[in-house]
Amino acid sequence: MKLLRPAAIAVVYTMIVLFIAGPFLWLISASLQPVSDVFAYPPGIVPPHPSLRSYWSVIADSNVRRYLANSILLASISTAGALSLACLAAYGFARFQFRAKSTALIALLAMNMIPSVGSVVALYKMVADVGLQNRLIVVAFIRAGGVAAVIWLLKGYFESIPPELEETALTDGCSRFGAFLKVALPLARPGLVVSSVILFAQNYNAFFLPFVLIHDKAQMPASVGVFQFASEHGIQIDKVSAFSVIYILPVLLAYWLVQRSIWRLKFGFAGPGRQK
Amino acid sequence: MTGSYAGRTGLWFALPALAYVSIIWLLPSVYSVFLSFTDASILPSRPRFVGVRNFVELFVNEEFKAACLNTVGLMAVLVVAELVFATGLALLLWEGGYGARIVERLVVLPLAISPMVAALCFKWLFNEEYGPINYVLSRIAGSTVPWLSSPFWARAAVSVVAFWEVLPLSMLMLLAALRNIPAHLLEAARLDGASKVRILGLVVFPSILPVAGTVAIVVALRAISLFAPVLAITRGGPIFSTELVSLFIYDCAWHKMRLGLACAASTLVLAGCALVSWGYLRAIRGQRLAKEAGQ
Repeated sequence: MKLLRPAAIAVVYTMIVLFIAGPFLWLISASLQPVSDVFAYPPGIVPPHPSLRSYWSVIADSNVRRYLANSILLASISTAGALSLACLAAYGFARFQFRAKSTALIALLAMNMIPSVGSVVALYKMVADVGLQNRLIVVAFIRAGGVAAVIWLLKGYFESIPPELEETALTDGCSRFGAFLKVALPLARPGLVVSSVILFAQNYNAFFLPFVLIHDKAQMPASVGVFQFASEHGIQIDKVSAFSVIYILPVLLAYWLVQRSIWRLKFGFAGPGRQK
Repeated sequence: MTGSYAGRTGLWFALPALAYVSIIWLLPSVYSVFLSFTDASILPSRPRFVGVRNFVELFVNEEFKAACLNTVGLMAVLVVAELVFATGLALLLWEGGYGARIVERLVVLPLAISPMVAALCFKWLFNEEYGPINYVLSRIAGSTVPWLSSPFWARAAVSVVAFWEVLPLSMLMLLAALRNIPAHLLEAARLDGASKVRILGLVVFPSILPVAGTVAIVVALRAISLFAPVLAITRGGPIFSTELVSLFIYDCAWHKMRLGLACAASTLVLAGCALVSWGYLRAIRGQRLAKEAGQ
């Protein structure tokens, strides 16, 4: 079924790609030139005198290095926590029938839908009352609670693994937990990889919670750090964009690597290249 | 169903996650409702019970009224825009053809980019004097747009950023729905000699309608929790034109130190979301029942 002529499709595609990727291209372009060139008139997307100077100066900033390290630490801890919780729960939901199972699944989905603005103030109060604000590890533990979507995703994955293999292990004297750990989990590795990329990206990019809970620069992740850096360095767009590019690049690459599998797992269809 | 065992074991597997999620999400929400009836402050002090005074204060607060109206307005604009444009784009990509693969890979970019980085980036793009958007406009249309100093255009700018952030997810969900339409339905319609418009209207749109409903809910909830762009780009201004409920709650708690009042606003947000989610969950339950009845 053809909806538009090829020429019209080409125009529409170009506009969409410009709209979606434009800000990102501009960011890279701005990071490669001095501020005077970024705001030169007329502005150009290709830097006239490209240089990596802003990258060096950003990397030399010890605060920036700490923000980035904190972000990686925060995302790793919360991803590890969330993934262990999600694996167990998804396996339980996929393999067993028990009372209140569908209620529990729906409740998970419902809690996932509570927007953070609805609970973040009270969460802050709870954390502050016991004197635990300004700690990265606390934010990491709270963020590990964002597991609902991944439980649903992994549940589907475990359901696609034939249970006969675990049954063999069980008859050979393996415990149920052992069968999960030694048989089902290794088979679910592709699902685990995709889940950890999704979780890592979410926690690496999370802004609201660390923004209100952490005001100490030594504990700040890069999501808050880049905002702090932008308000401190104001007009030095070359540096702010160099920091931004360094910050977003790892997750962007990871996302692209597993993109096809994300679509198959999350939305139940193959990505580009596997359509027909 | 193969591989399903009766018994409590499954519950033991699920229990850690259920308990943890309840502590992290449910407990603060309940506590928030409790705090909204107190005069709690951000400073360490013992909250005193003040009845519904916080809610009364919210109802006469002009800033909160503006924040609510702006949030609802953003929600409406975003839901309509996402449904129209994401469906259009999904239809084009569904057809496949030249360039569709590349566009499909590029269009998910915003999913992986930190919202704060995106917000900072758009802040410069919308810069009224030096920004590239105004430069292009001045060359094409001969005039520039006061993106950040006019209430109307500031709202437009925030909506564009929000639209950019949510487009990939809506598009992917709708594309998945399109690819799940059984091919024989389309084939049958074509063999019967139905026109493109009739195939779209009678086969394609009814099949993706349930997913479009889900997309609407997801987008609406995103609009409620939108925070980074209004904080970084407009800071709620000019004259509260882009003040959103999220920003109001943040300012209330951390700048005016009125934690109780902020919690009252949060409680109203929770009530609104609960209403929306309840309707949504009912709808998907209904769908599932209908599906099971059909099998």
